Amino acid sequence: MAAWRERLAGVRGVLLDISGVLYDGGAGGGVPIAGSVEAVARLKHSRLKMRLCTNESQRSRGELVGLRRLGFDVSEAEVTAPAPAACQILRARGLRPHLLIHEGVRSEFDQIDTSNPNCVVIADAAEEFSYQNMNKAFQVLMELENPVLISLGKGRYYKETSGLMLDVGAYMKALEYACGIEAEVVGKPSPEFFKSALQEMGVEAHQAIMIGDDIVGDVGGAQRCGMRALQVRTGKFRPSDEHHPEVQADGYVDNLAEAVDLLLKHAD
Amino acid sequence: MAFTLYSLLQAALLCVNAIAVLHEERFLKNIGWGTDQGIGGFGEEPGIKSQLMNLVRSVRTVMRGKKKNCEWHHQLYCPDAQLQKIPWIFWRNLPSLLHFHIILVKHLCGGPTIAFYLVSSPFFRAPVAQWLRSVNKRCPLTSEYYFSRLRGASVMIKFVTNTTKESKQDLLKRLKKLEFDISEDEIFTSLTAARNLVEEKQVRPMLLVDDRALPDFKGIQTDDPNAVVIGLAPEHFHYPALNQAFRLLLDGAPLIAIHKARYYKRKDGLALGPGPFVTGLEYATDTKATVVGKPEKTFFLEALRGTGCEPQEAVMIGDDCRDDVGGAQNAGMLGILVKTGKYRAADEEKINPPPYLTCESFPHAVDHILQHLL
Repeated sequence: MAAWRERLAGVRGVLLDISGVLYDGGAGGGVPIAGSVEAVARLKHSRLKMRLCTNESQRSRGELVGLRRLGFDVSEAEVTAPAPAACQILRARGLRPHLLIHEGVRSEFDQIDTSNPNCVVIADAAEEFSYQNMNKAFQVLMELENPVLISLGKGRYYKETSGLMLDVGAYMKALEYACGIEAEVVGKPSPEFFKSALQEMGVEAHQAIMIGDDIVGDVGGAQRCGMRALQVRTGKFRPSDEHHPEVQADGYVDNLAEAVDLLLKHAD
Repeated sequence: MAFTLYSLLQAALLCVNAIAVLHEERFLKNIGWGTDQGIGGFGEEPGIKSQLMNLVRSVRTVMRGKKKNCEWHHQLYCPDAQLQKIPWIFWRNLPSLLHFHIILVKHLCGGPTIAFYLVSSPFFRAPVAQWLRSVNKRCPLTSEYYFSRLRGASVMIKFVTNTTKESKQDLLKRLKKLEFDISEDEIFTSLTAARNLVEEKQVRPMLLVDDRALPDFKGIQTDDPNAVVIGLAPEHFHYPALNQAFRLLLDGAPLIAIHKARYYKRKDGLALGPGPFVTGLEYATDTKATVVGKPEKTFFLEALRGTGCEPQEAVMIGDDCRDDVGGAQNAGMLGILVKTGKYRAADEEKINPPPYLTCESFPHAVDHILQHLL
């Protein structure tokens, strides 16, 4: 298909979303999406550069590499995740966070001073998004003269094997509304986050393509950075995404396997 | 203060007079001076006889006040602040030796207030003002009393409130305990509005509301839900429940928010209201909640439904400038802001157009309505 050749011409690097593209999370570590394990392997053995670019903030990168147990040949060094990026910001600005995060990602913040907090960091805390914990974060923010809320991603929802799950974005919006503030988002779709992933991969934006299941966070965010982006019809994909009022992907594919097929065929 | 012979004389005459009128029931009646004459409107030239009757009434009410009954005070009430301002002018129409009189001081102190008015003598001014002040303290003007006055007028009354956890029954009980004579169908709450909407849409809601509010949803089907009703319910705002609501919304269920307050005050500090959680769900599902409580226009229109009263014919009295007054005026009503409850200085400047009227308290609002709007 000529159209694909045009659309994929000049691609040298690929950013992959993890959840909903490589696997569907859930009890017992989740299940890989059919064809994805092989697709990642083929991509790694091709001329194309590859990097994982995730908003996953429930698990540390160390744990993320639990992907290996599902058969994916990936290492911690290949993952761009928001928690380390947030730590950098916290250190640079001398912020001491109150952490509203999942136990799984706490180890990423081991080196951060959390006493006498002067900001709030919110990540996908899942079950730990209780009223009490939300209220604690709210009270910390309300007591600050200049409240700073840092959110690891602002996804609306993601998919687990049991169904769609509320993501950190909903809770970030809740705190924004309650305190009348705007959060700083670390992670997709923030341009800085994509840029750091590109830098780590060593590819210019116009030579890179993002493959994700989130029409706004993955596709829209990458396009705003000058990248191209494909949406897979797996994970949180919903048919209405293909007629999204604001974002139009450079292509829609059934899954990662199809995306990699097309890339290997048409990209340089 | 000069203690002149003149003031001494005035005092003595007054005492004699007072003693005489105390026995009015027994002997004044016998000489044809009944007690059924009205006070007379302001501006009318009162005859000597009616002026004397006013004196009689004044002293009588003073004496009655010594018994525990505070009722009479409402006839005499003059706010402390206004006591300072009353110009103590000479009341020329009175025979010069009689100094007590009740007049309407509406035009004098700017409010529709009946004040106890002592004229002419500086000797009496300070003690009377002092006495009135102490009376004000002892018998504060009660809203129940003014409520009953409003009841007596030919107006329809509705009680509207943004409760998310108090059922109508509980609210009614609480108000009755405070001696407000109210019936259940006069109460319209945000819960009523939510129920009405649920019935109108014929949906089966998942109820994220306080357990105490459940009686207001009695008889509503809630199994296999296809709608979400969300109020203030901290015990339900945990991840699994919100996630269930989220999934329903994604499947097209309507989101009905009882109100969207950001936070409220609790004993242990500020606490999140339902608003943030509604906003979060709206964001996650890219939908808009239907908010049913104040200040929504539909809330006020729903409250009027069945009363046969148009918004232009209705007055809303409340202490929340935005939610009560702004909302009502937005729906076409007149809004009166009272400076009680949650009112904070300069609240009335928060909305544009400004409140139709801002006044001290509910009694003043009632006075205004009775005087100017009926």
